[in-house]
Amino acid sequence: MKHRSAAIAAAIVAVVIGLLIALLATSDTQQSSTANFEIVGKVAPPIEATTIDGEEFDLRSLRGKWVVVNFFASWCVGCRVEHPELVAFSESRPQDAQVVSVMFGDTEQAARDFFNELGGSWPAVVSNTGSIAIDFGVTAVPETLLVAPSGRVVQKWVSASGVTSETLNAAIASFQGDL
Amino acid sequence: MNVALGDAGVVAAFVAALTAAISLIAGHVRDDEALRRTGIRVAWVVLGGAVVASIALERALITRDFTVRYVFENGSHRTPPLYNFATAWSSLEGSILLWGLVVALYLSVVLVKFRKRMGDPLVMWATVVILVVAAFFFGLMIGPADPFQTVTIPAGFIDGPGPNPLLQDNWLMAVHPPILYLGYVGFTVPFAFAIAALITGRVGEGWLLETRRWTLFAWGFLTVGIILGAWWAYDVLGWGGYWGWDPVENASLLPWLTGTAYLHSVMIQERRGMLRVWNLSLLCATFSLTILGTFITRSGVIESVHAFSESGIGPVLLTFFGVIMVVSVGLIGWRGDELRAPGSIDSPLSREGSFLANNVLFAVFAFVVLLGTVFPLIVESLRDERISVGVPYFDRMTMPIGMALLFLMAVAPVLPWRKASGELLRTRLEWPAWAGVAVLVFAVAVGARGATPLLAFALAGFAAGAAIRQIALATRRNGWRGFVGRTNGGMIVHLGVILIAVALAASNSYLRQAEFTMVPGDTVTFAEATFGFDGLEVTDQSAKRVTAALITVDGETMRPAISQYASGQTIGTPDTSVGWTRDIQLALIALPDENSEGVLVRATSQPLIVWLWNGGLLMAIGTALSAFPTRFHRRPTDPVSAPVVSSAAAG
Amino acid sequence: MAIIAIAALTFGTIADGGTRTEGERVTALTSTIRCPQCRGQSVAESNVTIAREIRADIRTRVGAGETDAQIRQVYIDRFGRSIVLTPDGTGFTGLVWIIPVVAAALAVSVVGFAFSRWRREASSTGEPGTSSADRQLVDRARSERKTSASRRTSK
Repeated sequence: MKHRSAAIAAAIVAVVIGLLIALLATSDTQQSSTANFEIVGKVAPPIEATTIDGEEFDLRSLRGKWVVVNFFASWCVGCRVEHPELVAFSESRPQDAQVVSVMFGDTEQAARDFFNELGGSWPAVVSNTGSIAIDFGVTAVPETLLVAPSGRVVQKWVSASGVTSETLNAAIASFQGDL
Repeated sequence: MNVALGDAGVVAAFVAALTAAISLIAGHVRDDEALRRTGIRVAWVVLGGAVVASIALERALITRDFTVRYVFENGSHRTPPLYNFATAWSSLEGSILLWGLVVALYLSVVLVKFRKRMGDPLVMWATVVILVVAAFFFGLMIGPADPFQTVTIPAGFIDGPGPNPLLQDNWLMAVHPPILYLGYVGFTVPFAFAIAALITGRVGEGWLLETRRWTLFAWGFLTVGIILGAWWAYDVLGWGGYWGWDPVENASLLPWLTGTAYLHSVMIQERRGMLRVWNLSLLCATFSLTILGTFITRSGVIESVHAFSESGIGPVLLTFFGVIMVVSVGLIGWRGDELRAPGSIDSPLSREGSFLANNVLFAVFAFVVLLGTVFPLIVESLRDERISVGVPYFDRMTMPIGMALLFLMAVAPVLPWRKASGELLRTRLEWPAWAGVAVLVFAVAVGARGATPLLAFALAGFAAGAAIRQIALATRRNGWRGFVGRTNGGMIVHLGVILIAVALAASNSYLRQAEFTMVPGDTVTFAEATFGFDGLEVTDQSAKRVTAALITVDGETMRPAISQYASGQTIGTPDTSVGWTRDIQLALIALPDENSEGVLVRATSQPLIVWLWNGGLLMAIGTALSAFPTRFHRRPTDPVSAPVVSSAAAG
Repeated sequence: MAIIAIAALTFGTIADGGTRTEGERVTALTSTIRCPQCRGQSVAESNVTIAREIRADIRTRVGAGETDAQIRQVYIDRFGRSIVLTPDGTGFTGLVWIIPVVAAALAVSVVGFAFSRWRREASSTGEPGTSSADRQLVDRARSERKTSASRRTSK
């Protein structure tokens, strides 16, 4: 018994190392994109702030509509790509949906220029944006959330190239039943 | 031209490494001297190929040959010469080439050093192992990590993006990777000898002597590499931090920990012939951890700031790691019990006992670091939950281990081999203990508070006392030779570690940080210093535009800046005012915009930071001194009572 | 000596003051919150927008008198458990705290076991600490030494 200890220890080590290798081999290398979706299923946090046009905005006033909350910055390439999609979406559903943009990590002037250049007539929130972003669990732009008429967040998209009008419409259709 | 040259070099090195390994084995099996000679001659081609490939890559970078994909993706006309040169290891493929070059260098030194003993199966097998490792890395360069891929330059292409801005902002980044690699890769040699010893069954002390300096050399470079990395992080990142327990940092720490354990426990083997299997295991662990570290850095499995972009290299490295583990664990399991040495350690209170305690502590330390690094993956795969294990965890878990190590550093050097009596301990430890108390009282007197840092200071004083006592005794007996040799050099390394421990405790416990928004003319007071903001200064350099805030700190002007690179990336360039007792670091976080007229500046004040780097320097000096041959060459198999004037026996 | 040491240590600990300034609390808190956009950095270390915003938010919350635990909970609610760099002490995650302690205890007991076996072996061979194999080793080394020494002198 005495002279088997190295073999036994080696066997134990081999098992542990084998597990470690299996773990590393099966681990997903794409981790960061799906990390923070805590907010989905919860009531959307309040947004009470001023827009680029200097008006007061309150998210609660939009209860009863589908609200697309989009976080953007003028320097973000993905935001530029997705903005025309948001414009198309907003024009396709003037009645039951509303887009709200929240500036993130940018300046008011740049945001204004961004909207002037790319269009879009919905409210774009520019004040208090840091804490709004934190409340919505935003990590980087572009990020987009869909708020159901009930005021609950039903989906969140985190993608470098942003969302499309089609994705948004499809999501609304799929959540139509359970509001 | 560059591509052809580089590819030729890589392929030549790969083929040569394989051919040499095969002909060495064949020559050994058939006992064919000619075949063996051929093998050795061919092995030299590995170095040739590696050098040619490296020159080709440097040449491509220097001539801005954008047809080479590596240059296309990482090179730029604007990069200054030093950083352009260092671009060769700033990205995945180039860093693998550096691995290959370093392993080829080590191989050649082994070939020279052991040229007269290539007939010895031990040396032969060791060479074969090194050749296999070299073949693996050159194979990577033929396959998934080819530095010499070509690219068609798109129309209108003017200039490449240049290396990551963080890597061209500080000269440390140019030297940190090669030095770290000299350490990392250096462990290949002792590992190769360990495997050779297992294969041949000659686990006597001979191979240990052969590899002692190699291990020390690799360990010294790894130490310096890690410290330089910390220094770089401190200078460049600008939050007063130098060690973030990032997976990649952990990956470099792990082999250091097992290597350090080995350097201590090997002395038991040299002196007493014991723990052979354990020491072999430590060497195998050290080398395989360097491969695991390379995997972690390169695969993107674990989130890390240092991680390179993803590539197909991960699975290959993981497989190699698996092979190394199978070979070493298999050999140890197979041979281990035959190789067990007779003998016993009489008392825990002895030099041997303290080395064992040291090994337990280092093993647990390494285990904690490894567990913390992979634990998020474990939780995710078993529970489908996401958690993070970060700085607070590592700090809390390793702090007690660090304290225990400091205590051990105080007691161990005065312990004799075999057995110590309480009386002996009392007399020998008396003045080191007073040193500890003196440091403690001094620390309290100058205003240090808090149980943890004070305990660390006291233990540091105690340990320093023991180390200085040893050096003092040795120099009294042997003059300047009291500084050289393993024991004395080792004590100097200890002093370096103690300095680092003090700096760690002080800078962690007494860090102060604040952010200010300032407009020109503003003055604020923070951490007993006055900060006045004088205005902004914009300078255009070849690769970047630097906007610096001129801030006067107690009369001295500091220039924290934000650098905008041509590629559009912006990074902060902090400025540090270095002092013997404390550093003040300023980082410019945000420039004025329409939301805010002022600049946002972060100030960090940390005491004793400079001693981290000085401690590292002292460790390097100590390592060099312990590699220095002592005049009285003590054979490790000599009985303790052998009539040799040895500093090791003193104490 | 022991008295001085204990006195100094106690004084240094008690005179600590106890209460931390708001700045210290912010620094400590920000280094325990992961930067959600980064890879393995805390918000204290990073300068990306979200890290800056979280630092500012934490400063506001500390100023408003929220406790550390409350602030941490706020972030867990919004970003998930992985936002906190300190793993939970309970449940499966708690293992990360427990396993090293168990491993350390195991390592110590293995060494302890080895010592007790060595002691047993030593007492059974009669001569403390020296086995016949030990003596053989010494003899072999001595003779080797003699031959190498004579070789050296003959050179």
